[in-house]
Amino acid sequence: MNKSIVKPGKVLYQKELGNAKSPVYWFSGVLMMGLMIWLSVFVPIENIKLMLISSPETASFMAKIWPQTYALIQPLWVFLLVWMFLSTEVFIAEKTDGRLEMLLTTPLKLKEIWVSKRRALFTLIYPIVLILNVLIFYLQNKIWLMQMGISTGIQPATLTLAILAAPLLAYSLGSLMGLLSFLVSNPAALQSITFLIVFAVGFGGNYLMSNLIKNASANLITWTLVGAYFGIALIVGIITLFLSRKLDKDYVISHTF
Amino acid sequence: MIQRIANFQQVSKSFGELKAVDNLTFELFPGEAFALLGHNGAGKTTSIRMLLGLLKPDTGQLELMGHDPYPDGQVMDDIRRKVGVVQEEDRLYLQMTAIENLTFWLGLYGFPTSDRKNRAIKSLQQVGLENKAAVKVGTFSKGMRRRLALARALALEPQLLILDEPTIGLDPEARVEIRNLLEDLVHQNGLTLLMTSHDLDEVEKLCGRMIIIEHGHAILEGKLEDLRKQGKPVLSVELSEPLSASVLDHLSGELSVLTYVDNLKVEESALRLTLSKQFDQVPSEVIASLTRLGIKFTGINFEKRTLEDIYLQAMEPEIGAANE
Repeated sequence: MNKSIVKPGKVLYQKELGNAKSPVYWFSGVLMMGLMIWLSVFVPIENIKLMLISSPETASFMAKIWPQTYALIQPLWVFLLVWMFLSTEVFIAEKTDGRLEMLLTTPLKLKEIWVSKRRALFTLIYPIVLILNVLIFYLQNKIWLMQMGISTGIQPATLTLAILAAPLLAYSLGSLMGLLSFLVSNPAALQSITFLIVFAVGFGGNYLMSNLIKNASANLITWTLVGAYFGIALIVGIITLFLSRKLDKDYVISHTF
Repeated sequence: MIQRIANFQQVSKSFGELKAVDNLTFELFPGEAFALLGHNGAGKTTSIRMLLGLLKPDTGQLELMGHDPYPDGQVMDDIRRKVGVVQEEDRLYLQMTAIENLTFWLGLYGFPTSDRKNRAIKSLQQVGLENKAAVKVGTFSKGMRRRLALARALALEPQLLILDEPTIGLDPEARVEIRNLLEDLVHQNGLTLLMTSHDLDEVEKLCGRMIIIEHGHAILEGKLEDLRKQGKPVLSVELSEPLSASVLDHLSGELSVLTYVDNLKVEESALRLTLSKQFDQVPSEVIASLTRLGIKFTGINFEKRTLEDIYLQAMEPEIGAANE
């Protein structure tokens, strides 16, 4: 057998990409997209229309700030939520059903398994976030301009945050969760707690945002903020890298019971 | 030429306070079928996990095909391609079809795409699932999943096959089919088999050598034929008619004189005498006593000890301790 033909990590990556066919992927992806478009494009129209009559300046401010509040939380939230849905099968069930142990009887290494799985999830989820960003920014510009004659004037920092920084932060958090699900003895409990946290971040973030807007300038998203996202992603990445040294077969199998 | 497929030398493994494997020593030679027997929690699965390089022994020396199985590397990758594994749980992907499961696992072992399908179909034929290749595993019965798990291991065409409770959940016909298949693989293809099973009848038919472990350490090891000769022989007398109480009393009295008769057990149409030493033929004193008391019998023979007898006798101190 020619050993250089197939790399086991690539085979696992391709298998996990098969989750693109799963109803969970489509349900969570389409649901989140629909919800976000409704919340970020159509719900604000009525609010801004009302403001246009009483205070055109406030309406113009809201039209500029709304895409920024979207970029600040929602790409991160959508990415993490779809990640959580998919990781139930990709990470959690793999360990609880004992297939992780079975995978380790093949030439696959534990780290390769983790890397292949998180890469596959990124490949599946990033396009959803990317398409969502494009759709939301496009529709906000198109529909708002058409219906109210208002332009959102999206800044490069906002785009960078939505397209790069937030997904990167979500990816590093998701990778950490994947790693922890291998290391803890009850990954299902970890998953439940994480789900609650992600939901809390999403809804709490929206609440905080409404308070933030009251005192915000028209340029809520600055390059410093974008840098902070990248910085947090880097810190999470370093923590993950440190913990990944614990990825030892004996430790993981011993903590499977 | 590998001298030993597996070599455990005084291997121990603990999980916190629990000593799962305690100073275990045994060897596995090429082409043999070897059984690892014991209660649930005796240390069988931990031993197999250590052999597969999933767990690291605390102490002792362990080799799989001449190498320490724990450290990952090219050498172990090559060895893993020669080891088929069926664990107690099937651990299949239920949302995938049977053939998708097999081709995926073959891919993990590095087999090129062109080779995977042929191997998968061949192994499905071996376990009688060729007509279910395109069916999702989630719809399979437990027995079919068990056979598919075996097909996954066989698709590697392994040198060593490790089976943890291979026929659990199979119907009697499927058990016989799988056993025949394994027998063929061992005897004709030179496959080495390491199995655990609670079905002692199955082990007796398949395995020539075995080890019984309890609380992580070996309490009995050897070839089945040698183990049969160990322990106390039992002489069975097939009676023509039931014995009266007075005849039985007289017989007990006569046999009590014979120092080598340890125990007399009366069953409905048979007597079972446990002797304290081995005899080449039935002792003449026993036949004389039976004749003298007018006891009619149709046959008198030494019982062939089954694996169940050997196992239960080996476990006697454990069972006794548990009952106290």
